[in-house]
Amino acid sequence: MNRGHNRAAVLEAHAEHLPLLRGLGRYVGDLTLPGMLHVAFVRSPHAHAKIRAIDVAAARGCPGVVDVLGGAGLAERLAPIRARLDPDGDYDYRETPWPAMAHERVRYVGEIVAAVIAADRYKAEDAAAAVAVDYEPLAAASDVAAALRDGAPEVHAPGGNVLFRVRKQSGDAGACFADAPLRLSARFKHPRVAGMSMEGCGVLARYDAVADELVFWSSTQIPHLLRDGLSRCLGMPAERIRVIAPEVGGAFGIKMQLFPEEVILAYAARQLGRPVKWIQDRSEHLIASFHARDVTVEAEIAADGEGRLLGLRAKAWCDVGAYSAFPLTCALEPHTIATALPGPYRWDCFDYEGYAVATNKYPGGAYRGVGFPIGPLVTETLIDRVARKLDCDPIEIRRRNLLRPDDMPFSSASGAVYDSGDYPALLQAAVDRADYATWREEQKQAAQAGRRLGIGVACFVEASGMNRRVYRGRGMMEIPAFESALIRVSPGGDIFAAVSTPSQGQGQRTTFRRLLSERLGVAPDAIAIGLGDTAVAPYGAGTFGSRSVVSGGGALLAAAGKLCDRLCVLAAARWAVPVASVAFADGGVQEIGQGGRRLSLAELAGLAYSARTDLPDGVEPGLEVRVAHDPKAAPFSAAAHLVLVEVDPRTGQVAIRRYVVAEDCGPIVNPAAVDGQVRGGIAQGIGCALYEDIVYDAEGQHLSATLQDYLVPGAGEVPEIDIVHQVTPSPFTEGGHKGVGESGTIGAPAAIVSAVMDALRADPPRIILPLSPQRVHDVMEGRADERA
Amino acid sequence: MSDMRYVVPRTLDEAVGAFAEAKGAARILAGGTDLLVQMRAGAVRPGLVIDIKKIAELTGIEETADGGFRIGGAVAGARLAEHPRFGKVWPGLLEAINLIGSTQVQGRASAGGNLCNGSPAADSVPAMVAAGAVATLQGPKGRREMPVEDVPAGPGRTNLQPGEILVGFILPPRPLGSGDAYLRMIPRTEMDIAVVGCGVNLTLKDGVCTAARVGLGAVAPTVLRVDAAAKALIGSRLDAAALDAAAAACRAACHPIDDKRGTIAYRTEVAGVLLKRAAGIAADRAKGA
Ligand SMILES: Cc1cc2nc3c(=O)[nH]c(=O)nc-3n(C[C@H](O)[C@H](O)[C@H](O)COP(=O)(O)OP(=O)(O)OC[C@H]3O[C@@H](n4cnc5c(N)ncnc54)[C@H](O)[C@@H]3O)c2cc1C
Repeated sequence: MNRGHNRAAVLEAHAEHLPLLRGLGRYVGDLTLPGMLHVAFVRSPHAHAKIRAIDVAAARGCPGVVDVLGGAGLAERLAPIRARLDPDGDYDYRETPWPAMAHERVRYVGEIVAAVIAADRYKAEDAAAAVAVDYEPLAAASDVAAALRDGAPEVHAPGGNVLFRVRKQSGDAGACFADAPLRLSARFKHPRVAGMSMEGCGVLARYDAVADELVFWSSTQIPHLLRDGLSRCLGMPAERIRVIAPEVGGAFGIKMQLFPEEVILAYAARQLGRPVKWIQDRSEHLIASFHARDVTVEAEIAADGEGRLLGLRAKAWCDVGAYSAFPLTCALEPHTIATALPGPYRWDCFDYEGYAVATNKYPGGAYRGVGFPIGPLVTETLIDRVARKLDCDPIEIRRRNLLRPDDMPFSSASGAVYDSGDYPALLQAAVDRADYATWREEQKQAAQAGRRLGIGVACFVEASGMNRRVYRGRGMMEIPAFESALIRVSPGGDIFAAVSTPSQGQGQRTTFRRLLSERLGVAPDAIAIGLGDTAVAPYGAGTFGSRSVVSGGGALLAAAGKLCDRLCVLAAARWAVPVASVAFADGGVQEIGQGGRRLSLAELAGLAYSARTDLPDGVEPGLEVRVAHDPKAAPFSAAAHLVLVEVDPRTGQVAIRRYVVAEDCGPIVNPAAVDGQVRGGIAQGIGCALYEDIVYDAEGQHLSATLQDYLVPGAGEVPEIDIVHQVTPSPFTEGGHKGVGESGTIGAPAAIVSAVMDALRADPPRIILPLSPQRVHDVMEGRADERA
Repeated sequence: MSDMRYVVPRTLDEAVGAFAEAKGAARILAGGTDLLVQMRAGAVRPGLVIDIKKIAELTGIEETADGGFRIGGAVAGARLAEHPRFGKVWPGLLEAINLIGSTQVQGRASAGGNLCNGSPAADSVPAMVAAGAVATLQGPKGRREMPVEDVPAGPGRTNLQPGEILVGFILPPRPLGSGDAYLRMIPRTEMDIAVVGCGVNLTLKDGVCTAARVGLGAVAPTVLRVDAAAKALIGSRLDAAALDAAAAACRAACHPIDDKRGTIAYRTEVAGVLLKRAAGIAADRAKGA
């Protein structure tokens, strides 16, 4: 065990988590309001069907029912959820407006066709069972293959099922591959997975008639974007909607999309003038929350005889379900895979085509890592194959190819700019910590005893804190992509800071407090933090894509700089000296030079507020600054994972024995939070690699609606994880920070696949996740998976 | 939602009476870890729920004078684990029962419920079958006994007569040199439905297997007793040839379903693997290793 910090430090770092662990947090589910009503939804049992009629009369007559929403009437009053892409972008995209409540046609199992509002959830559920819907079932496109077949059922007729297509090229792939001494290819399938946050979604909506304001508590990552999305669907001014994200029990990307339920709750609260609440249950969470991944990739690698990597080409088909989600659209996965594929390597040529294909399934959305886990899964697996072909050690082949510090900043084969990092040193750090040579020795000895150990390695980069330029490049015009911070100092010198990137349990309060306390030289607990309320926090995109510290924290640091400048002006005016002769230091302003005078923050705040102070020209009274911040570039963090697995030679079961991570996210603000992110991310990566799979059958029926069917890793499946840190500050961000929220999830599937294939010494034509015991067994037997 | 009644009889007769009278509209509640889940999912909607946990005979664990055991049908897994003797005599059977669910589930789940729920993947049942356990049943027509392997009739169905309640299990006394083991295959380490489960119970004398019983789960509509596998072991020194033959017999007995948890080929293959491993553990226990 190598945790690197003691108990007291851990407690301090998790100070804000202790009350949550003791049940003192207030999640949406904990909130109640007088007169509150509860909502249950009637959902389609069909993957694809016409709605002939909806009869809500019986449901209306059920005990405790206040209202039943459904049918065409609502459609006229609620605009569909729309997710636009920049029409001028270099891709093809077809929009798929998504009615919050279906009234003519349902396109996936679980689509909402009616909502019952009643005195309690039991009554609402009972009445929901009394809603009669007459469906005319239609043939369903249940996966990419079915959706692309000639004569396939059209999810949105007419125009075929390809909703988005993009191509990224660099170098001359044709020539490069034609001349390459070594070419190897494989097909990959990453399952459809669910984010499985501990807390599902939930909404409490209240219409305040006096203020003409909708107050909307939601378990969301994106308070402002949610507000804007609701505003559009309801036709209600955004500034009349206040979104509050109270404590949120995990989100992982799922809760950065606008849910149809949210639109319906907002509408119902305004319509009825009474508070309405909906708490998603676990089956709803599995059936009707944004799923992710569900990607098939065909890829080929070119290398020379010394194992130098030459070229990479790939096609990815992303099964995005029935609609594009707001704000990211179905371009999310195919776009991101392009960024992810090149990894920490140089390629002479790169050729990528990505497709988003509509199917009759729940819409796809963001999930920790978005597209990035697919990158190393494909690239690292193919690199392993080159190594095996050339009888080269997998570490050695990476050493030969990893980008070096003097390559930085580096423009990747798919056009991303890697800002900084020492990738070979990272790999070496992991190799040293693991003591790789002894792992190999152990593997050899185990083999003599008939046991199969395998060692896996994955090197990768992670785009974090993506700025306006990145989203502009992807045409994702719905994403504002900047974050804001506000700092207010009270007349007595007490500090309040609000940031637009709220917490879903990652510990942003602690992190932001530390950042600001170090910058201002005041104690962390002297700072109050406000997050997750559009009436409190300034505008921003929200928390996702490993952006909290980079973009939100960047905004906070920039605001702190502005505050310090203001304090210097105040002090200089007070002393009647030029601003250049004073400086901010250690929680106050100091006159430069020996015996210089000093004013504390509290004294300066007093001056800023007091009517007695004659403020200099252009300086406003009070002490509040706000900054909107767009990082100069999206920083890339990096990591190397090494994992030792044991494969049961008879059953194919995989057990993870050791796990070592070397990571570089720049300067670390809160080590406990960083380690927590890495560990949690790896747990989810393990899930994707070995267990998790949202299965739909050929008719589009959802077969994974309970935790008995959808296997997530438990404590027994997550090993001790040994983490080594390396710090290379980004030249492009305030404080040099890089994001780390998705890192673990990105590397784990690739590393585990690498290890299993090392154990089996196999390079099957298809790599299909999750690597269930049966699939591994099939690989050992040389059998192709019949359900690929 | 229709009305539901809940009764807590203190005697078996009361319970049988109420159960018979309700004519199929009633359900027995032991730990409820199957029943309540099924009720929540709307799969069963009983008009009457009869809680049997307050009936002394259904909640006792008794070591009989001959060295056998009587276990009440509603005894929770955690209780059996706490018993000073049971796990020493029947380590494999106890493991099988304790594999059910998690710590929380163990506080409630019973082997009786596991059997009466009728799942072909029920974990304790192959181990019970291997142990040679006999079920005691009581109904309106009185009491009778039935070998555990005869209780399941198909997925979700049993051969209990209307109004019959499982009173408990009788486990035979153990000859010297006996050992048992249960193994199941699941993708994770815990909390899952068996892809295959295999229980082996055997007796060794001077290294030779003199008695054996084998139970197999999740590979057919009901848990199976595989006599051909037992026969392959009996008389052998559990050498490779005997184990291969027993494994082949297990595979031959399989007629599993093909679902997302496992293909027919995989379940069949793994049934043989588990037989060999379980036989190995049982043999070690028989030798006192
Ligand atoms: C989280 C979780 C994990 C689980 N994991 C496993 C597992 O790993 N392996 C496994 O095999 N099972 C598992 N189960 C299923 C369940 O826990 C077991 O089948 C358990 O043994 C059932 O026992 P019970 O006492 O709770 O039965 P109950 O739910 O009370 O009853 C089950 C059924 O048997 C009937 N019944 C019960 N007792 C009697 C009786 N004496 N006479 C007649 N009929 C009776 C009931 O009417 C009902 O139909 C799991 C369940 C949960 C919720």
